[in-house]
Amino acid sequence: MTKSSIMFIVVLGFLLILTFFPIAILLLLSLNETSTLPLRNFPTLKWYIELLRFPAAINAVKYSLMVASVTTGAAVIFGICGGYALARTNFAGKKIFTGLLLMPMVTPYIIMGFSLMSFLLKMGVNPSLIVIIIGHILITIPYTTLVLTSRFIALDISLEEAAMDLGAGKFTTFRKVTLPLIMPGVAVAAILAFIISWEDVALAVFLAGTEQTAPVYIYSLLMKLPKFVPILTAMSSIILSFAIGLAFLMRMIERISA
Amino acid sequence: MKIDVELKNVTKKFGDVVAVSDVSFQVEKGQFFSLLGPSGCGKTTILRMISGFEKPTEGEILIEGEPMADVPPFKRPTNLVFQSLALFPHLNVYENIAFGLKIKKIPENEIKARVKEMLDLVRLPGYEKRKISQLSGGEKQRIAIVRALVNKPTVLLLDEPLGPLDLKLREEMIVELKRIKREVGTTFIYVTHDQGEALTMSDKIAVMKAGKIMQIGSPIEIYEQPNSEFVANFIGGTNVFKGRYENGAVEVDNLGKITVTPECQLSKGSVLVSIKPEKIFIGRKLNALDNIFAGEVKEAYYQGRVVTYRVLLENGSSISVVAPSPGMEGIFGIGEKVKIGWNKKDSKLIT
Repeated sequence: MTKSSIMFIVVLGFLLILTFFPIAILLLLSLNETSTLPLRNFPTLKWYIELLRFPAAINAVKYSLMVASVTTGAAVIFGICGGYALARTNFAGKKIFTGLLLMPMVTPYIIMGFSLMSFLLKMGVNPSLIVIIIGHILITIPYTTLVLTSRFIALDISLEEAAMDLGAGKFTTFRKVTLPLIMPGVAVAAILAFIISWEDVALAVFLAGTEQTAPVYIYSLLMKLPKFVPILTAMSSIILSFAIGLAFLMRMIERISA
Repeated sequence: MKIDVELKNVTKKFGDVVAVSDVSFQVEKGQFFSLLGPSGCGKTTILRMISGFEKPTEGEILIEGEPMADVPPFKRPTNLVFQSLALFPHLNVYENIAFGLKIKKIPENEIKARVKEMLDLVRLPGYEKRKISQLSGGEKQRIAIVRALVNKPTVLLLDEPLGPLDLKLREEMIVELKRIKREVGTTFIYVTHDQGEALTMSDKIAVMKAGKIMQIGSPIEIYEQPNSEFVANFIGGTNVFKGRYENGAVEVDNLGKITVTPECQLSKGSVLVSIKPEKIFIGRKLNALDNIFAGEVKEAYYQGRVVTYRVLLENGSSISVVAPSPGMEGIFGIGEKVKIGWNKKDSKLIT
């Protein structure tokens, strides 16, 4: 190993510590008697049990699950259609279209959330869970489309032709050959969309009405009532563990299907 | 004789590029018909037009007398064995072969029987549960062929299916394909760039170049009586000389007089003469041959069964000779003085 690569790894290692140390502390504290170090009576599920006594918190998690599920379903369907179209057809302005489609990936969510909220309010639509879902579909479509486009491109077109040659119409070909073969891509796209929706606060904070998703709930409580911190560490830990679990599942699918 | 497939003045353009240009031919029922040509000559495009994946720009394709213009691929009585084989990786051997039958809603019992019959045909009994990824190259070829054949197509189309196989396996598969063809009797249209495959298996060969058919005929006709320098060369390298015909002989610059067979005497004036390298004898002394020239061995390639020589003749022409190895006089070395010669019946005139 050269000197420069050792240096590089040391720097990266330091950055990794910076990333994971605070998160590790958060997880530790969620299992601690008090909301600060040192550890006391560790580990305890005290705050997790406490959390169950807050119906608003439990509802927020429920809302988040609902928003993320609906978002995922819609974003995956759009992603399959969009990915197929982008991979298999050529049309004038395809590059510009693709560019526009991917725009939300580089647009700050806070700007998207603010402008979407202003627009919808003008149209007479009030913030609600449905509005959050619309917002989340908009920001997840680029990811699902991107993942699925590359899957469709990698899929040997002669497999679809073979199905048609053997008597399958377009729909049967899609159902029996195309879809099963891009399934790993569909799973990855779905998990990606779910995680993005599950973790989003910047967009949802503008679009949420009375029903708040979990990250919005945590954010608003943190602003108002610092004494709830220990419960929030427990809630954050749940959200984080769930997202990490999904990310791990995604890696597994990618590895198996590779 | 019943005609299974007919192309009438078929042209295919992709934008400005003419892939197939005014091609017409007929394939009789039960025939093994090969489209032979270098890559990019349009042979695969013809196959894709017959199977329905491409539409002719002009002209008409008929299968069993029916025009195919408005018939989509999934309704044509053809099945295609793809160059990439295109076996479904998510299905096992049984599900692959049964794919077409299931779509036609054939009862499960009959499907089972027909899949078994097909696996027996290609000598892979008991392979039903195997995954595609567990098969060897040759096994994949066989499964791809029967996945198409099980549907009892009027015409089986094969797009260079032996391409990726190594030489030994290729030779085995050629024998195998001939046997399958004999047992099922279906009409085969076979696309290849390998003249050896085409000559071995076909009843009829269409030699193609740049979107056009150069010659159609039996393997013997194509090999022995090529109608152009391209066909003569493509079907197995040959010696072509340009000359002027006069009184049963052709005067070739830098070579001299070559005697030709009387039947060739119809041609007049400027002609091309083709002499196949394996029809030429080589030796220190030669006699009783119609055309004999002296020269020097410039190159010698030992190829096991035969030796290929490049001989520079005294009058400046160079000629290639394929001789048995070792010949009566052994193998000639580079620089050796030799005589080469052939009979006048082997001097073929190309118009």
